[in-house]
Amino acid sequence: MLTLPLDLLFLFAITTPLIGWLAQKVDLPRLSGVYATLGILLSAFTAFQLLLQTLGGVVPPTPTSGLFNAYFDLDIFGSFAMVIQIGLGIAASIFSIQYMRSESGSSLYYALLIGMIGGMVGVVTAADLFTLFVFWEMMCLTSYLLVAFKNEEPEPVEAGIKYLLMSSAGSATLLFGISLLYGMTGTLNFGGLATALGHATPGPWLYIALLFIFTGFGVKAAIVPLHTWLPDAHSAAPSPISAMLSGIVIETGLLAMVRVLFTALISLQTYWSMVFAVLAVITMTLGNMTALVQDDLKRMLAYSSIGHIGYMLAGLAAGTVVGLTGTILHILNHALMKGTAFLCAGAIIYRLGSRNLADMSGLARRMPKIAVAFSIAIFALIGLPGLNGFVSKLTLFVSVADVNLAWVGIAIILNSAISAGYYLRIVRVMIETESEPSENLREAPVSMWFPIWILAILIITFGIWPDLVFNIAERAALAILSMT
Amino acid sequence: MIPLSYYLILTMGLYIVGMYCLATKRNVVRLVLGIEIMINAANLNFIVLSANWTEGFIDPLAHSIVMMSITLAGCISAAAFTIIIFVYRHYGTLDIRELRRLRG
Amino acid sequence: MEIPFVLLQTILVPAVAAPLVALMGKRIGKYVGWIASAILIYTTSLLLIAGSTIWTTALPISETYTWSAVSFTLEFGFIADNLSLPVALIMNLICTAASIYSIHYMKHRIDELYGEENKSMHGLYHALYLLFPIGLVGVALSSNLIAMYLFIELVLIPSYFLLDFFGYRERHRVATMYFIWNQVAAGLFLIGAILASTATGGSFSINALSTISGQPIAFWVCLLILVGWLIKMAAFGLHVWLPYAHGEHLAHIAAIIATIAGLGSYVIVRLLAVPLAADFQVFGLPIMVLGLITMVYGGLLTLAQDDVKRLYACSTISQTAYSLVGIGSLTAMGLAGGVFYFVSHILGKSILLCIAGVLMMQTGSRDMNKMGGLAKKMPFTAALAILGSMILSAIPPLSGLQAEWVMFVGIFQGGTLQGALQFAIPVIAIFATFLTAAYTFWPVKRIFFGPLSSELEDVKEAPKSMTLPLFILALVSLLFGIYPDVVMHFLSAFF
Repeated sequence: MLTLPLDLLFLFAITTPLIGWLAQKVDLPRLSGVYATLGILLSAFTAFQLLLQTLGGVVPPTPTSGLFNAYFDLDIFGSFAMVIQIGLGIAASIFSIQYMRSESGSSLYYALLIGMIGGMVGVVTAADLFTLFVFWEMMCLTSYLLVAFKNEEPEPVEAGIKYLLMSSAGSATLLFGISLLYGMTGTLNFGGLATALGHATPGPWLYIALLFIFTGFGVKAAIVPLHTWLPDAHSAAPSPISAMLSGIVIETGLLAMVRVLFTALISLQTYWSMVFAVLAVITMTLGNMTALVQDDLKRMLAYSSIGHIGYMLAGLAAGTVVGLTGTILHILNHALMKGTAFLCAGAIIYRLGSRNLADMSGLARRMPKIAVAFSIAIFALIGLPGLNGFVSKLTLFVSVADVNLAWVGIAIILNSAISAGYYLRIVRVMIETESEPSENLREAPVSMWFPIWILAILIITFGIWPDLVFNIAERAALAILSMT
Repeated sequence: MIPLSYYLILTMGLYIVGMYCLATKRNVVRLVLGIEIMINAANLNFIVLSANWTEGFIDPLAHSIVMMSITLAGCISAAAFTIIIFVYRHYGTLDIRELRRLRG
Repeated sequence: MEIPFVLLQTILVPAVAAPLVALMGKRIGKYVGWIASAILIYTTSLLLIAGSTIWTTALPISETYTWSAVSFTLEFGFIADNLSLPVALIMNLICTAASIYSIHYMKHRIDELYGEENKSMHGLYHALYLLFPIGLVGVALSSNLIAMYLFIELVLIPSYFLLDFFGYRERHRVATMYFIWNQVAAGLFLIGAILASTATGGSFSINALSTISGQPIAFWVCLLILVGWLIKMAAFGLHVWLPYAHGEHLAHIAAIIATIAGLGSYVIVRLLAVPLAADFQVFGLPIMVLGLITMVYGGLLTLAQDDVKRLYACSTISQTAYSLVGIGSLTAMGLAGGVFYFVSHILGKSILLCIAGVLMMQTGSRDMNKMGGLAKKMPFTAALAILGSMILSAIPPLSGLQAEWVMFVGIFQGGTLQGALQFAIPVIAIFATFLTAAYTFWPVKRIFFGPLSSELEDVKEAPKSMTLPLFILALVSLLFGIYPDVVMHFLSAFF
């Protein structure tokens, strides 16, 4: 059934604090983490089955009566995004078992994490804009609290409040935009919006709605100039949460935007594709340039996420099947690459206690497993062929070159070359041989390197056999384009 | 009957008031209130437009949306004030400009 | 003799072996080098067999494997024809010789940097080293632009890591600089490749390149690919990275980097000068002039060096430019000569750079002012240095003369057809080649002859495992010098 992964997530989100209370009684600090991971795994399993079903052409039955009637709709796009979201959630959750062990109230942390995943799943499977908005808020709320979770330190709290103010202002803007769309059509269903607005000549209100909706989603997706919250939030959050935020939460903003753009706002495509082309170049350039001067490892990775959002926007600017395929593929690949990178950073910080790049010199000798996985992720982020990042960047370039936006493609490649400058700094620091590595550095525990290596192996696998996911991404793109 | 555009100007005005509040105020609590004003502007918009569609018919969808939206706004302010309490504990102030440990 | 998947094997066998080599290195230390070398000897013999097939049948061997076929087709295509096979074979041979050479050299370097007990570093080194032949042979054999880009990038990874792990002096800074310059070069190449594919209807195949000939986009494709490779060839103005990268790299890796630089002439011929001949016409004269400037500039730069390794590094700038002059003439003989000169030059340059490594290892110094009279102590090394210098400065009976002969015949042919300027350039170029003789033999004299300084009394001859592979390279060069037909049979059949 369609809502099964979502139901499971909610069930576990509610019961995890209970298990946490029980765990305190019997003195098993890791129990709630294991329980939560189990829940996400179960949900991932059902989500994967739904993906196989939709790929096989079967439309999973939606509940015909009751609360959720017809407010959800599952296509290949939704189910593929869902699998990515829950999949990265598994890795973050396994990683957290050790990472958050010493935190008080870790069961609440897991409840929030599962809630965030549930929110994202709701966003990509929603069939109407308001359902989307409710889940959107659920994702946002949980992510504010997760960023500020380590409330005994000032930085996470500061990052949390800044993130909250900026992002909920964005959400309010989004809601305003949705109300305008409602006012124009009387419906919020994607299908209804597409029929009502898809082929009509755009009126002035539609431009205003586009502006509001674009701003609302753009804050979450960290499109320059709405990106200022991102580096703070991503660097101050606990590392598994940074992995989630960078890897999939900001991309969910893009995914939701894709839904609206290709249904309600399709008649303005010539207009917004030009805006996106310009913003793509600005976003990727600013993200990569700023990352060059960072000394804080997590901040550097956060800025690099902005750069990658820029690459993804290029595919939306193209707006063709190839372009959307590239964007969706790059969202998957970026989730794997950035997930690995942030989890590796987390493992290093867990041992070292510092985020400063300079303190990490020579860690490859003490933490070889982490260092190798980190290097794989970094080379994939640069876009070296044979790893997954290359295939999606190539697809994006081809798509923009096809629609006479070759300058965007050239910007992608030049940015990849620039980004090598700071990515390589990380590798160089790790393999440095002159100074003796810090005493604290030891190999990370198995529950940390295991999820990292699963992701790293997927990076290599999808790099060598891109067709494993290329097909699905293309069908997801076709599903979006067939909505009008 | 008052024309629709008057209502829209009102809601737009409210939205801009919220935006202005976000842009100029220093106190974090006031910023949260600004966000609430923006959300209320959107809510009001829904209500206004719900009566716009058919003469004499008020769309219940919009009203249910607004109910949900008010709840969500409550959640946001709850979360915001939770974090604000911790902000006050750590920094001893509610001035947003004093929060600048993070930069870059 | 038919060997299944002969081209795929040459690429895949070292790739599969590399992680195994890294693991084995943890147990057996430096002896893992022999395993890596054995693998390379195997791939060299595979290419020899492929070569003999092509020699007798005159038909190219091609293999195609689909990589991705969803939105657009990505393929791994390999083609061994009269042009790519000799290039691939010689590069693989050089890699093999350098691999054997490096076993002892790396033992010395790793002991120096990481201590005697560090066995895993040997495994790491040889595993990374195995990526070089894959990349180089891959670039030569690929029949597909994306596959070629992949192999270009593949070469970058080991050269970055080896420089950072084992290089000299300012290795970390230089490694990053090297990576970024080459990344930009590869990026320009990729942009050109994708632009070409949009014009050919989504095909990345090299065969399809000729279909865009005559379209306006062909100019941009030519320009981007050309500039990308001119960076790698260190043409004048784009050469900043090369002296550093060569100077700080391990001696034999510097030889491989010189090979990459020279490979540019092959790629330009393969992708631009032949399929897009009409569009490439406009670049002919600029390339020749640039080649000439680079030649003279590189030669003068070389004369000013005191450091053994930088000396040969700077000479690479000058020597790769010879091929550029040959290619710029755009005649069949000129193109063939350009490729032949590249093959001959890398044979000589590998020998000389490896000799520089021997000198650094045995004397512990890089400064030529402190050397002198070493011929008595190291007769083999001295002989090799002379042979290498003979190749570079085109003294018979080694291959340098034959290559220059073919090339200059081609250039003069072009000159008689095209005009006075095209005629004047080779005349100046020939005078410039005299510089080569000066900058190759002058250091040989300074290092190996004259009075022996007292500090160098106990310098010993290098072990056989280092000098023998270099002698083999010299022998190959001698073979090409006496029977240039061995190469020209292939090349003249292609053009």
